[in-house]
Amino acid sequence: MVFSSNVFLLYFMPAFFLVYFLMPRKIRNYVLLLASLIFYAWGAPEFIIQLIASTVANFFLVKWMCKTEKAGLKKLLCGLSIIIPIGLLLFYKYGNFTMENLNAILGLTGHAPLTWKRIMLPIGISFFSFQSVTYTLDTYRGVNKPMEKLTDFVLYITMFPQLIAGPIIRYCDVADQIRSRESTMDDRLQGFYRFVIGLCKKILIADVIGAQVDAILGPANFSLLDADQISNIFTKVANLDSTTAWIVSLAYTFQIYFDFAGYSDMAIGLGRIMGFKFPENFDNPYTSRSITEFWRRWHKTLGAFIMNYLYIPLGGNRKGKGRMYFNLWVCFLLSGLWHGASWNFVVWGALHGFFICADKLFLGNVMKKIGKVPSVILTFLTVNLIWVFFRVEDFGLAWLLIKRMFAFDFALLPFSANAQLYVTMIVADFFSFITLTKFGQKVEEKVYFNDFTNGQHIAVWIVAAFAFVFCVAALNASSFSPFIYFRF
Amino acid sequence: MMRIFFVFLQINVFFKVKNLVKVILFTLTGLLLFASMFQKITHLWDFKKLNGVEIPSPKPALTFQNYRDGGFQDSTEAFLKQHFGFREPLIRFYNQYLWDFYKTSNGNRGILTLGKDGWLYEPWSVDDYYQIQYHQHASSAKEMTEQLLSEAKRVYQLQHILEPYGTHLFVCLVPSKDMLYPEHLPEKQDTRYDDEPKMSARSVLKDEYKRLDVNVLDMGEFFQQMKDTADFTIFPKTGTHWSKYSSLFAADTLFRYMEHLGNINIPNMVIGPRTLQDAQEADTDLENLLNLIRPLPRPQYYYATATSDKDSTAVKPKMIIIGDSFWWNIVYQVPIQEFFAEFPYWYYNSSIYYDPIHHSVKDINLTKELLSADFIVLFYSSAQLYKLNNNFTKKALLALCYDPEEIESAHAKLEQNIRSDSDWIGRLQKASQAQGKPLEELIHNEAQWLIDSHPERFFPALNDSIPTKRSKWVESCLTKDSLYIIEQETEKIIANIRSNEAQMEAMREKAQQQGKTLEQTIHDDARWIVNYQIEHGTLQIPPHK
Repeated sequence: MVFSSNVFLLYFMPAFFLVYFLMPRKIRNYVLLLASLIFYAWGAPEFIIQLIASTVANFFLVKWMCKTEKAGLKKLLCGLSIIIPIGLLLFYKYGNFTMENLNAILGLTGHAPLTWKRIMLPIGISFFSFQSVTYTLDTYRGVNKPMEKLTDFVLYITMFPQLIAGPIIRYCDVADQIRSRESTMDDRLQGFYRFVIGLCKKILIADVIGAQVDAILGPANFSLLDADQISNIFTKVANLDSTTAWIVSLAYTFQIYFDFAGYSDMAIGLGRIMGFKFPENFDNPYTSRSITEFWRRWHKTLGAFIMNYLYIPLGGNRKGKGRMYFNLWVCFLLSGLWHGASWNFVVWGALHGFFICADKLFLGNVMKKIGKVPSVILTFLTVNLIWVFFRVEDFGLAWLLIKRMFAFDFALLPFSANAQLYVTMIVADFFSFITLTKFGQKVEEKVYFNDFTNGQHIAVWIVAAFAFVFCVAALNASSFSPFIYFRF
Repeated sequence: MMRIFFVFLQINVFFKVKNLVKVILFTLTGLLLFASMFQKITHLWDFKKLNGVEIPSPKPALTFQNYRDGGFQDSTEAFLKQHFGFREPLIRFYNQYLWDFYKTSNGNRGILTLGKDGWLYEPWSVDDYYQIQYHQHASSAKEMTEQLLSEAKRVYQLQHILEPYGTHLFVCLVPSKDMLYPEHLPEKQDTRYDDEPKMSARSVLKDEYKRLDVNVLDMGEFFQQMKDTADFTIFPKTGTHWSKYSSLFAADTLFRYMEHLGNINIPNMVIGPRTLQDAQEADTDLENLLNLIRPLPRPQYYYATATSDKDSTAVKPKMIIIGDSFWWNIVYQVPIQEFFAEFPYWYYNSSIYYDPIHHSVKDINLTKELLSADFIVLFYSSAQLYKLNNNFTKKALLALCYDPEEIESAHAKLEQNIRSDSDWIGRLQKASQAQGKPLEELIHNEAQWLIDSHPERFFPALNDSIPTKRSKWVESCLTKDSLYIIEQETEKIIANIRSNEAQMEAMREKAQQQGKTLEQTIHDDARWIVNYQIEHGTLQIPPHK
């Protein structure tokens, strides 16, 4: 189930909150747990049993780990507790990728390929497997005590607002809130506003832009297309003028941001309605002055996870500069692979790793010297170019698009030809860069983080209610294409 | 009032005034979230239905299998998209926003295209004009051309096979809006196929029909000549079909062509005085699809009524129309029953309208229907020509030239070939698992699809210039006289069945078992008895000369 669907918006969410708030506080976690399991069972019926089984196993392993005094056994249990979620992640997410590459190698060496049944990727596995790891490691390191109740732990792993696409919530950030939390009227209202902001980002910006990107680049994964369809996409991209090529790449740059940030906003908003304070996941990443800064602002909870559970354990910057650069590269390569099981994501991660190292070597200083606006523009354009490899799985097509962008055969496109896309991109552009101004920062601070007076609540609620209705209308109208009569 | 004030005061005190606003807003949030569900359950407000036809998403039944494979979830999502409270006003609201701000419609590529001066076109109409529509139907212009040439040959074959039986088959080429009003088309925006060859089904077919001497009535040419002198619009500004007023001229032209082709006298059409009125629904069918809150300003068009001249010397032939939606405007405007004894409309060669017994082409005895008709009209507009008459010609040729047993035997042989081909059967096994359908059903469908797509591969006589082979049924009997005898005998048997309550009860049971209507079951049974009588010589019919 996704948030931007009728099932969720018009049925699941209202029914859940009604039951949740009608129940006494003691029961609410159980209501949330049950709803989360239903939510997940809807989207990944094949995987729900494994999710519960691995979570229960983890709970008891960690409990045992905390009880035992033997250091060796402690380490073993810790390792086992990490292997279970990571093993599931490796199997489900990278099984197909590994077999495809293995078969490619076998093919090159003249051997017959191995046959295997394609594995379906369970939704959200990348997120809850990481959360499981944070629980084990935070408990192992003594940052937090283990959960006393099994249901609380299952709730931490499966909590539906953040189950599918994060934010990745560290156990230590939310453990106390699961046990006890307060949901004030301000929380509930601001949670609703935040949810609607996310919904708008997703439906009114990301989906509108995404439809146009898909119309040119086709689906991200070509595995379901036949040779003719793939050939048509190549022909289409090869015929793009440079203006359109840039519009496509910029459109995707905005699409991925508003899609992902929108989802995080919705998750944070839903959590806040219940009194949870989930960590922020995005902080105006396109206003960054360097790739290093970009990663402090983009998918912050993933950055924190990699820092705490990968970069630092690898030695971080404590073992010399050479090792530091190596660690950074490894982190970004793995980060790329975490985003998707194919080589384009590895390249995307490697390019980010390259620019992070370059920042540390010299680029960071250059960016500081050239001033704020030029450095923001340069960083944005770099990120934009690297996104091409994220969006397009086929390297040939990615390279073709980049070549078209730099072919310098710009064409003047009539605004009326695709007015909705252009207006949406202007809006996306405005909201991506508004915080470069002091006024923008103030507005953001006010909307996202400050309490409202009653009058402000009324005004914001009216806007939010209208926006909610508008999003539901857009969600449904965009798929309503009737015929005059039936055609056969 | 005082009492309400005190209650309000008490609530205020209860929520310490400060929180009252937030409590109210939170309550309103709850109401907002539940509003759609509430409306769906209570239907408290009535809203104007959305215009247009959409493929209905049925309410899914929950089974373990369809839950596990996600089919239930997908179907539920699709069902809820069509069934939620406030659907109509919400969709109209968003459509109005799109129209006001961007002059566009919803949907993937849009269900319509805005031309110059507020003219509306369907996207396929624009594609047809720029000769790129074939991309929706074939992988290349060459492949599409070959398919069209084969189709023209089949039309030619059919025309010649049917002629000796007094059945005149002809093609009526219906114009589309882009053809008559290209001056209002938008500037070319779709550059996807700029480097690809261009082709138009209409041109290819028209040339080939001319070469083969196929009977063709080019309504496009007729209206193109009329356009320069007519003081009315042939295609309305915000509609996709010819206007209701123009359709009167189309009908008259069609009837006169039939008179000429069949050398008969059909009643003449009398068009009444015309009046200028606000555009009627049928003339704004594209605008209707916009489903706006505020309708666009209504233009004024001419409207008139039509009748026949009641000529007692004229005959009323039987006509079968096989075609697309352009026939609707004619049939709504013209009292066809005054000109034709029977006039079934095989809509896209699928559903049947204006036939008291049959509702689907699947249920008819195709041979009998074809031979009993005086005229068969292939009535398609330009954009639909790529669909090759919706398989009509292939099925008709097969039915006329081969016996059902021969077709069944070829089908069985093909099924056997599929079963003995390990790759083929493996693919179908996979599909069977994925779709949850029995393997036997998929094998049967695959064989049927192959026969339907390429009948000439399995039935060699169809490759002849004009096939000389005929099915036994056609060979043995059929002239118009024999068909008349068959009809009479059928009616007699139907009357007998109706007068016998025991037989009627048996028919009701049979109809229920076979999922047919009672009328159809009675008719089919009567036809079976007649066929039996013919085969066993108990019903004598004059042989075909």
